[in-house]
Amino acid sequence: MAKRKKYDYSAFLFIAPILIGISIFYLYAFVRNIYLSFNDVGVFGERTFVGLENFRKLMEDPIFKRALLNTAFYAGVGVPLIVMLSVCIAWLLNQKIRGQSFYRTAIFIPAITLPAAIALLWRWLFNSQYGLINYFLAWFGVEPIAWLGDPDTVRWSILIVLVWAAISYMVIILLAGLQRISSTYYEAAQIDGANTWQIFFKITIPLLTPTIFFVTIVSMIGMLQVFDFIFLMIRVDTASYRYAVSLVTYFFETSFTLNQRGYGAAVSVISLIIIFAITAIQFRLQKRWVNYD
Amino acid sequence: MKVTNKYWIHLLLVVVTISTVGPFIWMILTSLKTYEETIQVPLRWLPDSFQWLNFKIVNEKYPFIILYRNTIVVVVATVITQVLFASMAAFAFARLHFPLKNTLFLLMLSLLMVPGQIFLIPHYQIIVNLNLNDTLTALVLPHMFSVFGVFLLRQFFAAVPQELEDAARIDGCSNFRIYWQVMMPLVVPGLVAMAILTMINSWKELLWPIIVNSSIDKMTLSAGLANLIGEHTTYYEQVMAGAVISVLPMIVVFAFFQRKFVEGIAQTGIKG
Amino acid sequence: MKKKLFSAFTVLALAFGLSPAQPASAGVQEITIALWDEVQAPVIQQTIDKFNNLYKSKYKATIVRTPWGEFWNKLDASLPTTKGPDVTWMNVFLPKYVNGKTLEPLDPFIKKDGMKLSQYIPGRVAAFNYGGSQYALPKGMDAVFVAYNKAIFKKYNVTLPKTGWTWEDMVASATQLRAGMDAAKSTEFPIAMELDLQPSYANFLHQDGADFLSLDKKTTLAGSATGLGTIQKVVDLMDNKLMFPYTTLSETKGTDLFISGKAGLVFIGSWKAKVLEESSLGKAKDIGLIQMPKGKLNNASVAGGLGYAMSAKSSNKEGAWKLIKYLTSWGSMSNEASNNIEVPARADAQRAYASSFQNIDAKVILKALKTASPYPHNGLPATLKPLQDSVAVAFSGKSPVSTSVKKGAEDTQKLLDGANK
Repeated sequence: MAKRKKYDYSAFLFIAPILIGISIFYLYAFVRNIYLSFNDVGVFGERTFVGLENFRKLMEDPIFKRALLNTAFYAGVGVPLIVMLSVCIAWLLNQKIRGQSFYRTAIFIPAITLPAAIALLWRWLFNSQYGLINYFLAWFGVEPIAWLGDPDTVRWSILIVLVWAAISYMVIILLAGLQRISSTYYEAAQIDGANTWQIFFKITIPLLTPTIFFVTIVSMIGMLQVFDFIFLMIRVDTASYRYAVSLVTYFFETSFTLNQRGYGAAVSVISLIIIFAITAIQFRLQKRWVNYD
Repeated sequence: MKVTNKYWIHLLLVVVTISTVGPFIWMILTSLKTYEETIQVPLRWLPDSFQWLNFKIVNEKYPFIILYRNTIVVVVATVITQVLFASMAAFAFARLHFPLKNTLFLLMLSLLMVPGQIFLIPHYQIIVNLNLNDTLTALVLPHMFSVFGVFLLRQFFAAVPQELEDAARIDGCSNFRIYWQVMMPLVVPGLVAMAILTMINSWKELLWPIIVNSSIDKMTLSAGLANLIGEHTTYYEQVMAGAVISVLPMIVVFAFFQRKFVEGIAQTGIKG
Repeated sequence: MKKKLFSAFTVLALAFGLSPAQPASAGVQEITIALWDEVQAPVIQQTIDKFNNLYKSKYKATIVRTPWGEFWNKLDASLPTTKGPDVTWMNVFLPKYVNGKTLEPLDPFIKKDGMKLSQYIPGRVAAFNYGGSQYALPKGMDAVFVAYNKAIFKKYNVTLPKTGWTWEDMVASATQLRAGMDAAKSTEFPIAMELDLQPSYANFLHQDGADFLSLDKKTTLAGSATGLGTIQKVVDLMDNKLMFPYTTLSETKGTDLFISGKAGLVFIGSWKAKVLEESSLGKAKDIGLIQMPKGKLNNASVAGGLGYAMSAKSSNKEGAWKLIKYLTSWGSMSNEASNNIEVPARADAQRAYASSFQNIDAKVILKALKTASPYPHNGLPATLKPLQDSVAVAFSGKSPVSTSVKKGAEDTQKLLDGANK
């Protein structure tokens, strides 16, 4: 095949609708947001240029530093958990067993439940005196744990909810990826006498790597941008808030609750740089482990 | 497959299912309690008697038929446009060669890396200038463009074997025919996955519908039900009743669709 | 396949087009009013219906209700445009909106109609006067008081709180209750509290003379020796097991604990009066109300309240003014009062409030309002945040009051100084 490829300008027709839409609705706001981070911005847009002042303040902001740490925690611990568990569960759901439809529908439930309901639900489960989790732990003689109230445990509690909700989404994507793997591979392997483990590790996983790569990127971006559940489950004026707050939660609090739009924009810009860097690294690394046909 | 394997699979799946269905059952139970039973300390499992009237109360406050109709119209329109536009772009990024391809893709990806809320007020201002506030169109318009979708589908398009594309070109197919008749059928799992995820996100969207629309007959389910969460007092049994009503049909739809989805895939017979 | 897609598109396009707007008949001007509370909305709707009837061919008012969590975000986005509400509820965030030039001063309208502002409670009128102009007419007021569980006091043989009681009296009663609860190995606690500023330490600080925020909104006294002592008082309650531990209070609202019969008494705001009235504890006539215990200076509670403001970008200011006037008239306010909605900001309508409660002695609320002081806030949450956070940390026991709150107060004072330059 000839290595020198000609440019195919008709491609622009294909990307036109999305490119036009993005330019109108997203591009201007995106660039303006970066500009705002160099300003002190009031609620209704009144602004004064302050250069790097917002960023300097951020470097000294203890809550921002904690937000960075917390977000790193959610991403660093959450993503591997999500990917591994989702792959396993998706594989389980792909096996020909009775009740497959029921199980698949069950895993779908967290994804379609309104976040407000999920937050209420887990707040109840985590309640230190009357929650279900401590209730069961008490059977094993474990002292009640203040899942949400104790600054030392609150990160883990949030992580559990995030992973629980994210798996629901990722399993759907992975199931789709699994469908792509032709059954001829499996048949050939079974003829060769391979057992379940071997099939899983030597055939399924390698062929699933494009989808796994996608799920890794998406859950990484999702975890780095986590917001809803923290905001809904932990009140801002509690002591454990700062031990759970994420970058985006802090952004929202700064921009919308405290009305400091410029400072908030600075938070979002730092967030963008970090996520961009991590994603770029992941893309670089994909050549090592992702198999495209 | 071996019987012991099946045992393990069932066991693991049951554990997983408990963690998802269990909370859902609690939601239903809570929706059938009185307010005092929901806040009762220590926890109360079952209500004294099933308060079916909670559902009636919530429906009187927020007519579900209207909220459902709106949500369905918005979701369907969003899914169709998103999948269409994203698949076109994904095809181009995955299979075609054009200048600035990587730069454009990277730029688009960056949009996913900023908090979505920075777009709220700019979108609001655009919609107001177009005089489209308080309409269902306003709910769909900004969301027809999904970078996430482009990214997802690009993976699927990229995985289609080159030989198929080459064969089609040799046959003299235009890019559009390759896209529509050759590639799209092969990425159906990706399209369905994207459709489902878009549907879920559109379904749950809260902040945007509340900000851009005002009348109750232009509200979506999650926006309408958010009204039940008050400043000082939240009637949990009503919130749960609302959540149950909104989730139930989705579960039914999904249960129905995922069977078809699997059968459909089996029939397309993907060539390895 | 293409055909199906096309027809799907057409159907959808039609569906959008078919969404009926509700156009008013020719000549009738629309007025929108923005609010959040879904319990109050139906009652206010009654007033709106009467208004629409009165001005049948001239105005048509509609309520636009937004959930509390999103209300201010939506207001921020819509008020600067012409598509925002004409009239809106307003609270302590007033300065923010006035500074953003989004509210219409009401003085010209008041003057033209010769309206006497003395018909309203003066403190509430002053709360919406900023920079010399009146930006809203007051709607209601809320105060903080104490609700106690008669059954629990009786169970442990402790005398009920008496009018004029002091903080020390409260601690003494609580200690007795604690002894009884320990003996009975009960999970109850003597005192419960909500962690929000308004129903808790804003009051205590004011009662000890170390205001959270001074009346001129320029200084905070929470970092003074007196102020630190006040916060320490609360921490001591928790340390001595006289009040629920911090983790419990941050997970379960104090009011909920009280209504479930787990607390001897609770500091509570009048916005929860309806909840108390309708609870089974209330129906069993076991709830007693009493004003807060006296601190070093007094037992005055802080009082907030809502008002009706007008958008500067409203295209129908005459109509908006008439609506505001109607909503704050005696008739409307009495109707709200008799529906237990809120204590009206007019003395002549307050009687209806007290008599509308069967299970609790709402007269206590009215008495508390007589001596109340304005809720301390300057509409700039960013300036107050360091202090509030530091108090939360002190309550949680993670850091001693003397260091945490002292620093928090200093930081807040710095921000206040910056904002008031």
